[in-house]
Amino acid sequence: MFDLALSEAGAQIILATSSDDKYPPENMIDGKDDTFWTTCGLYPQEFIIKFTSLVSINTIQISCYNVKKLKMEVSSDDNQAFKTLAEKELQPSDSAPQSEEISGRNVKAMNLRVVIESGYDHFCAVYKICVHGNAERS
Amino acid sequence: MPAVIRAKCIVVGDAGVGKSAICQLFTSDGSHFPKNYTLTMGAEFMVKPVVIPDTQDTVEMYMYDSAGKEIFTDMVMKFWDHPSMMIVVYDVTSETSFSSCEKWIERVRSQKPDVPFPGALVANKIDLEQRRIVGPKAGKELAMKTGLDYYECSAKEMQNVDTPFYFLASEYYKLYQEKVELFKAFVA
Amino acid sequence: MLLLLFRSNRPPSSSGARPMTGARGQLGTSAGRPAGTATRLTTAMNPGTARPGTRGGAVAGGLALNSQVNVVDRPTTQQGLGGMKTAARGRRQVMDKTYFLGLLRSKLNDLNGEINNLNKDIENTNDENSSFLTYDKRAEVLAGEIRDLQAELGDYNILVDKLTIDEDIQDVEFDCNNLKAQNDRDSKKIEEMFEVKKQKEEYIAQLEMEIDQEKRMADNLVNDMDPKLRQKYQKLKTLNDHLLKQTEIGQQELDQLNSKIETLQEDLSMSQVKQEAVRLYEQIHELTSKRDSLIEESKQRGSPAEEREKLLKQVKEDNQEIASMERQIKEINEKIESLQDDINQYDMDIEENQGEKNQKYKELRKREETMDEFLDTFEDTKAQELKRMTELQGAIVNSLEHVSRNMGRFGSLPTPGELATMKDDLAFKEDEMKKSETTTIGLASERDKLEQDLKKLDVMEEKLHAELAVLKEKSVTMQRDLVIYSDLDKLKEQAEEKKQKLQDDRVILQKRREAFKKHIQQMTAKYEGLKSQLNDNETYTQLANLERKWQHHEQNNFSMKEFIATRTMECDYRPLSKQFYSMMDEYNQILQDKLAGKKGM
Repeated sequence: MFDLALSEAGAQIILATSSDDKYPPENMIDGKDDTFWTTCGLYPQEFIIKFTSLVSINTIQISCYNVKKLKMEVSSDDNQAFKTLAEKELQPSDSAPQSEEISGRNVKAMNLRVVIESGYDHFCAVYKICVHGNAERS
Repeated sequence: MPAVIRAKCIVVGDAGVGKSAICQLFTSDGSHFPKNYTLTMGAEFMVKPVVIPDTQDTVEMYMYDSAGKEIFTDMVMKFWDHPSMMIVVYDVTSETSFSSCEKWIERVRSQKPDVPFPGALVANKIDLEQRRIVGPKAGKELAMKTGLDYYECSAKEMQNVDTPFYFLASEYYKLYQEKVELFKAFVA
Repeated sequence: MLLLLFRSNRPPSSSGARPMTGARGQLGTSAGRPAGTATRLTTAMNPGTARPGTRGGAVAGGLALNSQVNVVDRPTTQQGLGGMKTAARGRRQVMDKTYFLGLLRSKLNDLNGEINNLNKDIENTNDENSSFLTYDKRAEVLAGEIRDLQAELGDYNILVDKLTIDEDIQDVEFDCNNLKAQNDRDSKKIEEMFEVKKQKEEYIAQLEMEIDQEKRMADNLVNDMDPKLRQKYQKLKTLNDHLLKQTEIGQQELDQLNSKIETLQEDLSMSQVKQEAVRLYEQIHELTSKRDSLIEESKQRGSPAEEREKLLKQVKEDNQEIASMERQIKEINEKIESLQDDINQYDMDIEENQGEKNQKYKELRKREETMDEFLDTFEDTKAQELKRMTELQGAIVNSLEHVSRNMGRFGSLPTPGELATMKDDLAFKEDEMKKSETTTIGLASERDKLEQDLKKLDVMEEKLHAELAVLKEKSVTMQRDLVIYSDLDKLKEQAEEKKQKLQDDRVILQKRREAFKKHIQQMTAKYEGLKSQLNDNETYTQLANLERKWQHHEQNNFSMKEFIATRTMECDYRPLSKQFYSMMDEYNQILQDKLAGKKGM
């Protein structure tokens, strides 16, 4: 079990609704805590992580800030529709980033879609996202 | 590469004060002024990018030109979740429109009471000087009381309409910078 | 009526005439009638004439006591039997006593009737006259009343005017008093004038009395005079009267003629034709006089020999006259000369006798004159002279000083040659000085120019400094860049890195773009589906239509509201009324002050 959502592992952000050059979405999957991705305003914001191959997700760890409501969706294939995995409402924390863990229940997924439905402020940041799981042999 | 940040701007005010006129004028860069009064049904949606001076970044203003008629209020309030900024418009020749500004401000702020966001109080139709009832002092007082910035404009004369938008865009941009600093501060 | 009477006046003449003609009247078998009546009746019964016997006849025909008409009786004409004369205008054929009586009666009745009418008219007129008098009196009375009432009305009108103007009772009393005073003054004046008039009349009476007295005295004198003298006096008096009358008449005529002349002159001056006529008349007059003179001349001319003799005579006469006059002139000149000689001799004598004395006298007189002059102007000249003296003294002192100073320098005075050289030098130096002056002027202008240039140069120096600083910075940055750019390898590496990164980014962004596109496609498909669903929905289309209608109505509403608002603003009278009220207050205040000020006077 290892972090699937790492750029070294081949994961890619194929879609992100906000893109600031200084804080690109890649900061989420670079495995570093001090880089982050910011949203540019408006809600809902989302980003999609594509894994190299079909994987089964165990848990998802996300470290963010100012996020209020979060929704996770998976799709096993590019053409398939996304199925909701989980919806969570985070607590506001002023001094430190929020940290959440969502169980994946070993769902098989090729793409992971994270939707930030609302936030506590105009902008929010995601420092890191870790997807723990195994690669599936299809 | 220039960054683009997006802001949701809600334009509210009583019916017939000139919200649609201001928005259309701003969106068309001062060329189109709607001479005939068209009742806005629900809300009109317009996008206009505003370049922040001295930077290469743009703020895209997603304007929700809301209907002023009371009938539409409930419908319109559905559009108002997660506003980034607001513009309250009133007519200087109409005392009622001025007094209902507070009401509008309350309504919008109730959507997101925790987060403060920049706003502007705009006094429209200043070209009708003879019919002017609400003076600039009253407007400024109300703006100070509610924490907004006061602007006077005339959509018909195409005078001073862009200023509140530019101001709000720069405010929002500043806000963004602050947030980013804040984010950085956590990990530094 | 009148004609009948006329006829009755004339009976003697007619009676004389008619029976002579005899058979004019168609007398019937009337016989035994008194001549007077017959003649009268014949005249009355003459149908041939145009007398208005028709009137009487017609009446008679009706009223006369007619006896039966005797058809048997044949009317006879002048020459015997005549034709049957029918009745003219329904008159009776037989003219007998009763007929004529009847006629007379009818006439009498007529007359009576007329008299009655006349009496009635007279009475009417009398009544009318009397009533007219009464009416006249009443009219006078009423006129008097009207006058009084008009005066009252006038008074009331004045009162009403005064009330409407809200004039003070004091003003009214004031005016009343003024009028009273005026009336008193006028009445006094009238009394005075009356007094004056009385006086004058008395004076006139007095004068008349005096005149009478004088006249009586004159008469007495005349009576006391001798009869001869009296006669003479009388004659002279009558002559005097006569002459006076004549003068009067003559004066009147003169006045008439003068007025006539004036009118004629006016006419003359008006009409040009007349003026021309006048001119022509004058010309004619002149020419006629000329002609007359010429005719006379020609008459007097006689033959050329006579003419020559005449002329010779005339010439001789003239010559004689001339000669005599010349002699006279000569004599007079000689006289003049002799007198002049006498005068000179006398003068010389006088001079000889009193030569020296005279001269001395003359000299003395001259001296006296000069001394008088001198005395007159003494003071002035004295002052002037004193001033001059002081001035001269001062000048003298100065020159003495000068001289003394120069005396000191005398030793160092140059010789004439040296003087000449010095003069040359001086001239030379003067020239030089002039030249130097011009050069100074030129130099001053050049200096100004150079100062301006200097200022410009200062400004440029500052600019250059600024530029220098900028260039220094630039050079520093360029140095840095130079360092950077000199390191080609590093640059290459960096470029490669950037390129790689950009390519990676490109890949990523492309992928993202594709993902976005897909996403967008999905969303648009959803959106289109929803839209078509909406459009299919009847309710939606209905709603849309209604919404459009509503928008239209709202537009109308709004425009009308705007219109109303603009119009009410235009008609807003409030500021105007405020202005008006304030101005009225001001005006009233001013009026009050003015009135108060007037009263205070």
